[in-house]
Amino acid sequence: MAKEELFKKVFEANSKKIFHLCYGYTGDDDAANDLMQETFMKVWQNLDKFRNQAMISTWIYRIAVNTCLTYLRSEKRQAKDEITPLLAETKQEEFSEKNEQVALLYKCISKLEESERIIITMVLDELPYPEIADISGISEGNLRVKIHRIKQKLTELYNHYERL
Amino acid sequence: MKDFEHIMSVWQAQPANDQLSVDEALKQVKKGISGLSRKLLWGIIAMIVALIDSIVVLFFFVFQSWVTYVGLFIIVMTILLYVIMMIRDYRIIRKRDITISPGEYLQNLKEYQKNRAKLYGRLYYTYVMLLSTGMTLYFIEVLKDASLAGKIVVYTLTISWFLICTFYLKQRIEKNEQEKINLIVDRLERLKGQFLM
Repeated sequence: MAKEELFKKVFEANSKKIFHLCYGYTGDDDAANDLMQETFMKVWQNLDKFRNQAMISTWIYRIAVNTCLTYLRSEKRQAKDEITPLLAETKQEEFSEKNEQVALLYKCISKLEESERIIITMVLDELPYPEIADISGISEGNLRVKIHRIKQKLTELYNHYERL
Repeated sequence: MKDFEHIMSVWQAQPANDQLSVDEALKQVKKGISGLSRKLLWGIIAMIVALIDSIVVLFFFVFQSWVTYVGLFIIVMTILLYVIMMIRDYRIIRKRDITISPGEYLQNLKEYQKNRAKLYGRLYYTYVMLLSTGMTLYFIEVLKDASLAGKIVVYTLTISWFLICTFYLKQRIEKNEQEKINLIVDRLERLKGQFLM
């Protein structure tokens, strides 16, 4: 398969989930787009090295996770983060209840630790646990414990902010 | 009181973002890569042009004193050293495997940052000193026929530059670099800790 064809296939199959991961990590639409673009740039650069040694989605997720972890927020971005991005974005639009709930969920995710944000977005996107363990490099047993804690933490945060 | 199932349903019902088309993504990716390479390429080209200039002066200009040749030779070697460092850095970054696990990746990054800080801290000082020495030696003959005022201006500037580098810039740059590196290393260490449990 030609490189371009393979890239297109890979992009179509994974871009939505990778965007979710980047958005969950940064809580910022522009930053998430930048990170997604950077991820796929690295995918393109490394595509020749990929020899089906693992599932391609695992491989791409690892690139995305490492890209997110090494992302440094600029001061401009940090200031912007003060406002929950989705809220800011939809301010002028009609405020549907669904949008509000999604914005609230992203706000809660932004309160988690970096690794927790990454893991929970993968859980929410229904990635199988062994794959999450493979991507994050955390043993499956430890990961299950960690996921249990993150779920609890996120649910508490969600209920707390919903009441406010 | 909402449970995790509710959160899951909120997540899955989130509106799809304006998805970038595949062709647009491919265009952006290719543009991004060429932009990155171009920036680096211009840096290397600029240094190579300076190197060629110095080599031309060294080999095709006739000077009376061997001191001038020593000065030019030092300048050429210093620029060459800088170009080698640029290429070395580029190769290390290119070779880094981004598909390894986050813990390992962060560890690699941390080591790279530490080594780079150590190397550049020492190297920067050497670079400035070598370049200044080379230029001072070069100026001795070049300024032989210059007016006294011209000589005073050039030598004062060169000596001031030496002094500024030695007593002001060096400490300042080292302090700033060290603070920046410490922040990055702390951050990488903290993140690595999150993946090692």
